[in-house]
Amino acid sequence: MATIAKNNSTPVALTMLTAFTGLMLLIATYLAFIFAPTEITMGDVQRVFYFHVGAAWAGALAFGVTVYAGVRYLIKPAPNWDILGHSSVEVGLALISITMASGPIWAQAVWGKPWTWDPKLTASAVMWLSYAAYLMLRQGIEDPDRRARFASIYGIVAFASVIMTYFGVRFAQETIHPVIIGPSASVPDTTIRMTSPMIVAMVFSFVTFSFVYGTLLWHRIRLQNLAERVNALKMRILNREVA
Amino acid sequence: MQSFLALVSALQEGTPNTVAYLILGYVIIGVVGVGYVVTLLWRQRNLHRDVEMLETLEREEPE
Repeated sequence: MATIAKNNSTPVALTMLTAFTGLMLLIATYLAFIFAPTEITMGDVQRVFYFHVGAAWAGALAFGVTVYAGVRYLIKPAPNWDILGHSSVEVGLALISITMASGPIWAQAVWGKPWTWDPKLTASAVMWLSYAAYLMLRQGIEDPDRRARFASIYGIVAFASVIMTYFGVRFAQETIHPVIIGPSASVPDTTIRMTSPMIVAMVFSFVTFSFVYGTLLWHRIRLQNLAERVNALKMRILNREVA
Repeated sequence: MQSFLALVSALQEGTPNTVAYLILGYVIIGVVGVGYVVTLLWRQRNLHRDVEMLETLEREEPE
């Protein structure tokens, strides 16, 4: 894991990863727009799903990493685990925001309204709010150790909203949200309801958004390390002034 | 085979035109994604400025 950085230059590996992720995004866009066929009942708007679902997957991955970082911090408190958990929540929230913002566009075209209080949508909104609250509540705690301990526990508990969104609603009979990969209470069979090119575009999108998450996380950790360095410099100058 | 192609053709004729929603969807995805990257860059720039300023202050002799 990255430690507090003293060197301002971007590592070559991060530059290469960023370029590679950009290339992956271009390919994913090609697969979503051109390679995948048009879905017959929904039309072209179905292509939104490739990025909508990819971002949702990467967001869940981000929140899972926060749980891991939280557990590691509680076992052996070290600032790096807190930095990882915090950074992962911020990146995860940005990815879930992509999902939450693109979903209503699809819903308006297919359902005729951008939002319903469907179990899946409601659970998603609760998840988004839970992690937005994580970021806001962190800022209210001044003591770094207390803040990190609180954030670790919160990050673990908040993951319940992720489980509810991705797995819990599969038991809901009344959901109108599409279930692509079964089974669920509303769609009991385990068939994947996509053609082969659609599956290729979807799987590629999952991989791409995993890279997007990894790249953004690395940049965000470096940003946090830079912020820690600023704080350390401020403290050194203040202590010198006092002495 | 011909009847199958006719069925596909008939279904495609009934496919709604939702291109505008597709474009809007990806514009929103782009705005949110690029917006987050811009905030990262903006914060990074500000922190680099702070580091430079604080390092200059640190190098100066205390009065």
